[in-house]
Amino acid sequence: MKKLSVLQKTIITLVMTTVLLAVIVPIMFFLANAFSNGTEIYEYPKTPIISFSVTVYVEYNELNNEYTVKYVNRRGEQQNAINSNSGLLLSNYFEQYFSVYKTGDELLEDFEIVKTEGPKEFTYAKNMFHNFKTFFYITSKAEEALVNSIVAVLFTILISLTLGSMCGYAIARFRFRGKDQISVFLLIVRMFPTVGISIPLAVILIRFNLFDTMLGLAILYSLPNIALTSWITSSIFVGINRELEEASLVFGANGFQTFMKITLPMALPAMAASSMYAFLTAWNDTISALILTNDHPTLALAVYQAIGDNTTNLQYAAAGSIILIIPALIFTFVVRKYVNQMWGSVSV
Amino acid sequence: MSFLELVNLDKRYTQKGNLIVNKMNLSIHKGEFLVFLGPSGCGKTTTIRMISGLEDISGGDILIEGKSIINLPPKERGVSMIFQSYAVWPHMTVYENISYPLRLQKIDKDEMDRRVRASAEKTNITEYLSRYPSQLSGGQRQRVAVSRAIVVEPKIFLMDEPLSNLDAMLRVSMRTELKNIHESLGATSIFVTHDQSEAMSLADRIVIMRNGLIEQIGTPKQVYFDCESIFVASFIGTPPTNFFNLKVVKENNRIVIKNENIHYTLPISEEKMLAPYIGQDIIMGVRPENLEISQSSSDETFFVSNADFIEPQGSHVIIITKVGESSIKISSPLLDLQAKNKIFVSVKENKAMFFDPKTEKRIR
Ligand SMILES: Nc1ncnc2c1ncn2[C@@H]1O[C@H](COP(=O)(O)OP(=O)(O)O)[C@@H](O)[C@H]1O
Ligand SMILES: [Mg+2]
Repeated sequence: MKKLSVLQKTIITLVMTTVLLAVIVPIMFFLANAFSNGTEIYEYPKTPIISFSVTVYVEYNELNNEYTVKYVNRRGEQQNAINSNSGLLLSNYFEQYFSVYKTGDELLEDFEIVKTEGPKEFTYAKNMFHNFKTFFYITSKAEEALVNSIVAVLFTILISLTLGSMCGYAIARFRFRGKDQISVFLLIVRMFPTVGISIPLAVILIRFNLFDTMLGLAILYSLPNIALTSWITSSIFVGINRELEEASLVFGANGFQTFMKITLPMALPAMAASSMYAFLTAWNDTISALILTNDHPTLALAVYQAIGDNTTNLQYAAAGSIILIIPALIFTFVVRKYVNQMWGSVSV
Repeated sequence: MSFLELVNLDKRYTQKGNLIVNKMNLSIHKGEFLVFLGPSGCGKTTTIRMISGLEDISGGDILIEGKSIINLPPKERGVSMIFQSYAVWPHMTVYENISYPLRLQKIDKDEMDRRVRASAEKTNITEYLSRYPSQLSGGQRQRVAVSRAIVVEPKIFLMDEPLSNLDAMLRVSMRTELKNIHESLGATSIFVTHDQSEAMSLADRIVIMRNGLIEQIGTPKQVYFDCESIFVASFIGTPPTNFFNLKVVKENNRIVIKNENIHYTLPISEEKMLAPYIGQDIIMGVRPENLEISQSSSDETFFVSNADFIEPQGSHVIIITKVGESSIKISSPLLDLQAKNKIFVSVKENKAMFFDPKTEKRIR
């Protein structure tokens, strides 16, 4: 018995470690990329550790009267970087390839000492926001895209939660013909790849003047999520004792008040979970946005395009992805609280 | 004038389905504590749900103070209800639960607070007002449900097996409290139960139902000693009424009711009642405590038998015996009776009930 429990413990530890590694290692690489400067990004092998500073080795070349700057990587190896005595060139190079923000004068002042004391290493702090700034700089519509994404997400949540929860309630509470077929059909909708629906939908959206609008996009995103929301909420609604609603009716509420004050709050965990799915569908999609928009990209699409246009500067796309992730993270953490909130979990 | 009146009330759940409630007529007085008693599935819940408006009616009428309420939504009927599951809302605190009806009526805050506290005090839950129902025991949740029901000062309280989810001890103490609250408020209550001891101890009048029909309406004493039908006589009482299948004959100018083992000479006062049945079969019912045991034969001897088993009950004993094929239970104060003894059983005067075997109704 005891031996078994040790075995179990070992297995559980192994599994958890694997899962953690499988999650953490890619995230570490991803973060390291997002905060890499233009030189680090091409290093091989990559270290999944974020670096906060840059070390350069500087020699003074009397013959040409210029500084030879070499980049020192984390293993101490030197790579040629730039030969120059121009403050402006040095400063630009440091910004672009090292993410170090120093004026030419500052750099020249630092390097002066090399002339008298011989070659020397200097360490500078990286500007950690460099990639983010550059992302917004090179992605002309990034700010607009962020707003677009938020609008698309809000519409998606609104549409899929309203229709989905009403549909879920009907499935849970009423008996009508074709109910079983409808609930199976909802699942089938869920199986469709959205891109398959995007193309025919594009035609319809153009008809209704909704092409290249966030509402049009949200309609597409809502299709699978209405189905999902109905499924999730109907299972919760079925579990809500009818007497709770009936008590509300007896004690002075009408049907609508009862739904809003009794039924819906108790289905809140289901609504929260559904809104999370709706959020992620709308927030992370690129392919449908590519089909259904023209001049108004979502943020995910903007990031995708940044990678597409700029394969040489992967770190900016990675930074864009971080910008994409942050709202999703915040939303998930806020909503998670409600997903786990089962009424009655508070014990004495 | 009656306070609440059910007139030919019908209910079917499907268009061509059975009548779950069948032509029910009932009138309830103000201040009365009425209990619906009947086996599970007889339509008790359906009936009070129709009164509360949670269920449509299929025919007939329901009147409160002379006015039909069948077209009013539940909230306008002036009833309040205590549900079997308590139906206390889990996402609201006790205070919010109790104040919910008042908040919907948009009652002024101070007034609301005063009423919530007063009703919480009546049910002893003042100290739990800020808790969530999940932090309460079953009995406490029950009190919240009661509190919420009384805060609205309704015309009628409807209670659907409100005590059935409580443990036995609590059930007994809670029923006393419910009765106290009923009396202190001067309320009119309908209480549904399938537990006869609950019904007996609470009711001013009991309505005994079976298959959607009212079998008998009467005080606890009436439904116990003066049963209208075989069903009531067998449903009420533990142990239930003993039944004997007998024949009515005329012997020596007296009416005698008998079979091969049993002999009962009808009292003269009851002869007129059974005269039409002479020569016919009849069912005689006698409560266990209306059978008397003696050690010797007499003119009154009903039957002679052996005391097969004796079950001491403290204050009395239950004697189980056999006449012909049927098992008979007798409740007797003779505490030191020995099992296997020969017993001579007689019927207390005028305590036999006679039923028509075809209609199963009492012969009056
Ligand atoms: N919603 C319903 N639909 C169909 N039949 C029902 C429904 N509710 C109750 N019944 C039937 O009506 C009968 C009476 O039920 P009910 O009033 O709940 O009985 P009781 O409360 O006396 O146990 C039962 O046979 C039950 O099956
Ligand atoms: Mg019932």
